[in-house]
Amino acid sequence: MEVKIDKRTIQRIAELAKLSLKDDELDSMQEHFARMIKNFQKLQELNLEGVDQLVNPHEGLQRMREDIPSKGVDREEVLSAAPDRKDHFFRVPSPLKEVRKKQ
Amino acid sequence: MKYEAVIGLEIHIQLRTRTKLFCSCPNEYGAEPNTNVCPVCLGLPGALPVLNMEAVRLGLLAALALNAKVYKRSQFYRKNYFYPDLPKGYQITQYVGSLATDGSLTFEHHGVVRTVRIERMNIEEEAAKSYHAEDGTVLLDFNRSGIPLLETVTRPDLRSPSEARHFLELLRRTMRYIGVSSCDMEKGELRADANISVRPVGSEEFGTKVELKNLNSFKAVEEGLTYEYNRQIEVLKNGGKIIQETRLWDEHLRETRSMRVKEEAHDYRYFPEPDLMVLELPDGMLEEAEAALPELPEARRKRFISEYGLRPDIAEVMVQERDIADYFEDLAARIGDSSLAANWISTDVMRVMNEMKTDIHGFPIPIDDLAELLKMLKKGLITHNIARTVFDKMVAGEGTAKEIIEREQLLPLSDESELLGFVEEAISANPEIVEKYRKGKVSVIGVLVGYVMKKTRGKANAKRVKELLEEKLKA
Ligand SMILES: [Zn+2]
Repeated sequence: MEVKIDKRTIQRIAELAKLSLKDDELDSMQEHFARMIKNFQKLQELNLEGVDQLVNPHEGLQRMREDIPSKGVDREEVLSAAPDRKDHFFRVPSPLKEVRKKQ
Repeated sequence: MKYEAVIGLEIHIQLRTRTKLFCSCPNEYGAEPNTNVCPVCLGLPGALPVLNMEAVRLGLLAALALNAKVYKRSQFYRKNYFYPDLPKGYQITQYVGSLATDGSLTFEHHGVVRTVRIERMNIEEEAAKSYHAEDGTVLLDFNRSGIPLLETVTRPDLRSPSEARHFLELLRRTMRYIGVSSCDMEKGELRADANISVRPVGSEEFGTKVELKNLNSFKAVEEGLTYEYNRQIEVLKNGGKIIQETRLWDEHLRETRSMRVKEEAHDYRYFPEPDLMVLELPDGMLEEAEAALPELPEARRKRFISEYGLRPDIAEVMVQERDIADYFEDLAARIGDSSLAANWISTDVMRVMNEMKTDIHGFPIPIDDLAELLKMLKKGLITHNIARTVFDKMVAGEGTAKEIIEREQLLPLSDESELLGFVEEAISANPEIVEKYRKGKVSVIGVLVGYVMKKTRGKANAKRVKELLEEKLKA
């Protein structure tokens, strides 16, 4: 099965990752993606009948923890590491404003 | 043309654990902002999630309560999207490998038995809480980030807004019964989004659906859906087309409106969360959950009707909360009279709970004291009016039923001669009534009974007074 990666697909992937790429960057990305896809197509040639899906390369199952609370980290410490804050809150730009700007 | 609504709900239930889903920060409501945080729930790079077993256990209980098929193995995924309340850039949720699927909840709506199918139930993490400041910035509190949620998605089986509300109320009651969540909608512990479309009655096809958000109370669920139902019918009647979109219910303007934000097509690029292994339920965990499952509200309601002979509306009130239902069964057994217990709980006890803004645990009269009072009433030792008076004094903390009755000399006049004195007084003081009675209008005897009751401050046994009056008047 041949998978084609066109420029619009690259553009879409970039948008989902919130990246704005220039035209020549899109071109080079397209090349990178084409190479990756080619490698995966090579893998697709393998006969995997009867082989279970591998979800995680590590063996074993999920270990769970008891529901016992413990103190987290110091508020001042984490807030002072943030780019912006107001009182005891982290402050970030409005996500809605960004959408408006884009439109 | 007559239309019907086709409604499905996507519900998020906050699980009542002590800690968050993937870290040991306390899961508590109302803490000082950003005090219950750590690298995991702040989404700091390199922090690794460790699954809380209690969240899984509560999820199992909920799945069993909804008759769902539970999977021995399930898997967590990353749901990728960007929003300030999710600094990792992905939410850890279950996707292909759900915790449970194919459940159902059956209830009676206006006398019709309805079954709503549950498509899937997934455990996932909550996002941080954001506050929109006046200057347009967003303030974030990560105390909520990482609190365990149970996402519960129904099939489009609901056919009216009132049915949707009823379903959601029963779901809440069920979750509270099994102790997986307090489901306080005001605290956001239970949240519902809805999909709604309309179609001509009898049609098998679905219309174009609209996603409805911001339904923050049971009232909002019913009113928002009703508005949207009418709006869609209006559009179709005028030859228009329903646009597939997300709309918000505005409780103040009482209308739904399009979010108008150009919705990027959902593409969450799910992939298995590499930081978490496959979740395989430990041996015995499912069986333990099955054993821990209490009798559910619908089953209990039916049993209260068949076993105790309660009226359906009273039974409904008795099963609203598990603690009330337990209290009812306890009290009924103590006094040996289930309808007397149900009547007092649904009226006086609940009135006091409302006034004092407390639940049954905060109800001031110990259950054995209340049982003592009601037993005296049942035996006819005190009248209903006296019981009410004593009850109020017990609520005020003036003592037990026996203490109050003795102190205030509220015991009925068991002394026949004293009672006879009042009866004779009633007869001599009301000659016209006596005249009427003797002429055949026997119902006027009530006036004479009332006279004695008033004179004895309710301490007389009305039945005995009537008997004595009849004897005297016949003589
Ligand atoms: Zn944490």
